[in-house]
Amino acid sequence: MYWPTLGYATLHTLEFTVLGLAGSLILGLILALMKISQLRAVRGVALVYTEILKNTPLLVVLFVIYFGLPTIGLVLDPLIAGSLALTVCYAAYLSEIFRAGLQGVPAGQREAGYAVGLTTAAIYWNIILPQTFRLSLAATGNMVVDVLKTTSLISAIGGGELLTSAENITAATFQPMKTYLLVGAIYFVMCGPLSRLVVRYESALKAGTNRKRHRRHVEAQLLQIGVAA
Amino acid sequence: MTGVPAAGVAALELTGIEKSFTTGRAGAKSTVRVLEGVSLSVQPGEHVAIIGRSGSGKSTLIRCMNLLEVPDRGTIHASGTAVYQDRILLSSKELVRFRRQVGMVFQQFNLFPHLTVVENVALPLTKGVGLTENAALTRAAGMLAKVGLTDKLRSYPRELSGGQQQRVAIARALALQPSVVLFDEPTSALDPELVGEVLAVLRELAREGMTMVIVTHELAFAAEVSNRVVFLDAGRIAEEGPPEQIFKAPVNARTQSFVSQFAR
Repeated sequence: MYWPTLGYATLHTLEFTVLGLAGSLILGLILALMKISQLRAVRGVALVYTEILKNTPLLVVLFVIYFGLPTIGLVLDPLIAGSLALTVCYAAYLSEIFRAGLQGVPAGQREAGYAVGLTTAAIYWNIILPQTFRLSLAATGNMVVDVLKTTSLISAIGGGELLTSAENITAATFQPMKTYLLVGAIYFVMCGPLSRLVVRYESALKAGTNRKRHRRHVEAQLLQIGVAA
Repeated sequence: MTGVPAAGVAALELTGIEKSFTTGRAGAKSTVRVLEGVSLSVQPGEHVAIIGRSGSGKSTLIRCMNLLEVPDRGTIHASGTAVYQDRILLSSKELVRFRRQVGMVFQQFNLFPHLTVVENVALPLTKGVGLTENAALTRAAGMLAKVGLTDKLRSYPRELSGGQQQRVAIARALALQPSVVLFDEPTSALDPELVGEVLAVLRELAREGMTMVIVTHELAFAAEVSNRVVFLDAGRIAEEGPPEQIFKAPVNARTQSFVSQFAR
């Protein structure tokens, strides 16, 4: 039976997803902040990056990183190469989503922050970014599912994730139909709930119920200072 | 900049403030001169109303007072300290502290929609002033009680009426214990039936002796509450004086025509 192999491969798929997502969320946010910079040169760098990466196939980027970089002495193992490819490509998409989110926060929010004597950093951290996050959530959620599915491309460098192991199993068993359908089902089982989770979180966010722990904390403090509910 | 200003030292003193805005893209730029040398001083405890037509530069002027808008030229002193002289004289740290001393209330309230009412008021105290959460919430709850919103501490701004939102915004500004508060058309975005509750709060503040600058279209209110009315016309102060003079016996022809529009 190949269940242990598939189980292991599923973990690898999730590993690529988590690393690729973490990287692209961070890089995407940095790029988005660069795009709204006052400095033309900073904006330019982010815009050029986005244009190039948005219009290059991920598979090509992956090959450049995995097969190309060793020629200049930089050898990366498939886990790093695959995660890096996901990061640089999805950062381009996410930066567009975050830029729209940043610009969707009304200018008055920033002004109110300055008017109450907050620093720019405090304004971003406490006022702008939480609202950007809310505005970007739906589109980002779609990207999360997309990244998970796209990890299958890493099989082209034998990344050890689900599709790679499916290819190996097929080579040993000559049962491509059964194997690929099974692997497809595993992807579906992971992506379906993930999409739903994003939708549910989004509505919780709208209702303000996502901050339960924080609100309980504030509530406890309020009671302590004698403001009854 | 801290402490009680000495007698005779203006809370805010603006001299020769000029401000232009450039609009359009390169090649087709046009410059609009909004303020053409405005000088104005606000004494501690004074209530100054700024009136004038749309586009006369009222909002730009009041936004220059906390340096939310940076003038092109002129000088600004706050309680005797020079904060602006053809450029901002403060370090970014000092600027942040200066803005805490000069509170501001906006036409559109600008509450933080992702935070509850009490958190809106407490945030600048914890993340700016550096109070503990407990101290900040205590002060915030106190300020909200003052504006009559004790039962709304846990609500989100979207659950409140415009008048209630504006009262939260006033509490947020007051919680910082500013030495002067700027009101930029505080009732212009409100439905007529909600204007009263906000004016009542402003009236109470005035009675307590808070130093206030109010840009307003509510001329009756300006007449009632202010010690001094400034009529701004095309970026200049056309006339200023006590409300009786401006509303009953204006000298300037432009002031006469503006005030007469509202006379009943």
